[in-house]
Amino acid sequence: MTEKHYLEAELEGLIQKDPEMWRFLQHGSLDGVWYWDLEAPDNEWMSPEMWRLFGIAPETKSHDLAEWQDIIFAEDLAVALDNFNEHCADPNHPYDQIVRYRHADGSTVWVRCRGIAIRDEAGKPIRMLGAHNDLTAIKRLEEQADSGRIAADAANEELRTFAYSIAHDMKAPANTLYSLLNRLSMMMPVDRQAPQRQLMNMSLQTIDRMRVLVDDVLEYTRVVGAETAYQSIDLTNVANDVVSVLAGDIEATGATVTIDPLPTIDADAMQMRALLQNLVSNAIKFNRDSVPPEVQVSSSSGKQRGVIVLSVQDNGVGIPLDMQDRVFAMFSRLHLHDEFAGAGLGLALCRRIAVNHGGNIKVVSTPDVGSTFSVELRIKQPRSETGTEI
Amino acid sequence: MNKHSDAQIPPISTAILVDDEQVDQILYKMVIDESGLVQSLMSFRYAQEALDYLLKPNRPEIDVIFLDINMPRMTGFEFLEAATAELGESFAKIVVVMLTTSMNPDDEDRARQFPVVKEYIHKPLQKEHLERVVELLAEHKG
Repeated sequence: MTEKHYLEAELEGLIQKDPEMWRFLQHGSLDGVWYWDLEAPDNEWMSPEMWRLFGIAPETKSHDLAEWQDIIFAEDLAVALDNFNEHCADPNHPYDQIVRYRHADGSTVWVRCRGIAIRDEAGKPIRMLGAHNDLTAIKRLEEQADSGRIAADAANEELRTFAYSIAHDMKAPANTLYSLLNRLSMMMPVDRQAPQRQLMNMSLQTIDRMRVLVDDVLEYTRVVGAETAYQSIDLTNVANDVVSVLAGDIEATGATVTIDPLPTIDADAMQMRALLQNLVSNAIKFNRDSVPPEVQVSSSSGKQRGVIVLSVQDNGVGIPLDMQDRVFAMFSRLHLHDEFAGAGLGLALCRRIAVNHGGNIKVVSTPDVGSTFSVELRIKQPRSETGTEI
Repeated sequence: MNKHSDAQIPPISTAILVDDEQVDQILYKMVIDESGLVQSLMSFRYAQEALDYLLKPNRPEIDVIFLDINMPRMTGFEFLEAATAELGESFAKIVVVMLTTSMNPDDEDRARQFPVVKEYIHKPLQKEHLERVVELLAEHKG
């Protein structure tokens, strides 16, 4: 133990000798003080500041225990009494809690109430000294922030639900219209140059685009709207599943999809599938005429510890440098609809999925050579209950 | 080119259509042809191609540009910015901005910042829109 600073020793003496010092500390740092006789528990001296905080004139009060117990919130009194009992039994258990009082004007006053029991030689508590700090301003700000956040969450949820319902409800009429137009088309003149035939083809093209848009919006809202549920995911399995789903496109384009061994990470199953399906299907779709797509799905360790980089590489059309930053924006497209179909939502969804997992997505690309999309993902997610420790 | 120019000269001599959608282009060309209001129409599916054309030295004066906003690579707004920077505020007599319903409501305000943009329409382009352009061109002359 180091020796006390001479000023600390002097101050302790000063406080004992001069009551003005105590009053200064009390007024300067506290919003009320009480001193309670545990041997005659009806008697509790309460400082004038304590009553003023509750909008009550101190001279109307008579230092009776019941006087504060009448205006404290009942559930907070229960917490305080529990702490009081435990503190009496064990000095190491702190008497320290935030409680609410009813102000004379009906409003709520938040008080941090701390106390210390004074014990006799046998260790039995005989008095209790307590101190109040007013936390009302902080608590009010907290409540405002909470209600703002709750309102924002609710509004977001409502928008997600709305987008999902709209997309969902548009799917049926779009499909019906597609079938109707197809039937009508079969009754059309066979002559390809007939104006009816041309208009019909344009109608079919338009409804096809609408179906792509509806499907993509539906997928986007479905993935974004669901809570991210982490579980241990073997990315190799996900990639293999994706390849079988895309078998039709792979065959049609003569694509080769190579899947390197991929790690098992904590991730959301549905989101990982949407991520890989979008990246691999893009890699197949954005091919160069007469160059069969070669797609490689691989992984490497990230720059940071505990992070992997999942990459999907293609030999397709590539993306000009000045366009690379905008491919991840919603509804952003670089091509005409008759060159490459799509609503411009796939990479926006991929970015959202990466961000949901605490990661990010990047692209490196050379026009007419190919693109590599790289997603940084954590191996372990915080508070995750599954997966193996690395 | 318009088929109905036999009797009188159509009031809009040179129009440009910039829209990436092939179907929309065909549809709008039908509307324009049927109106008989346009003498010469050029169409582009990428805004950059329209900009390249405007930068040609011996091109005719352009009465009106019908401009889609939501296009791949160069958007309608980027086209307006680039054309204004290269050619000044009056690279055409009139620009009509064609909005789609998915557009942000702020887009109309953004379009208003370009003095050459005299009209905003919601797609699809219709005959009344062309008639409005004829009125605007008459004001432009006067």
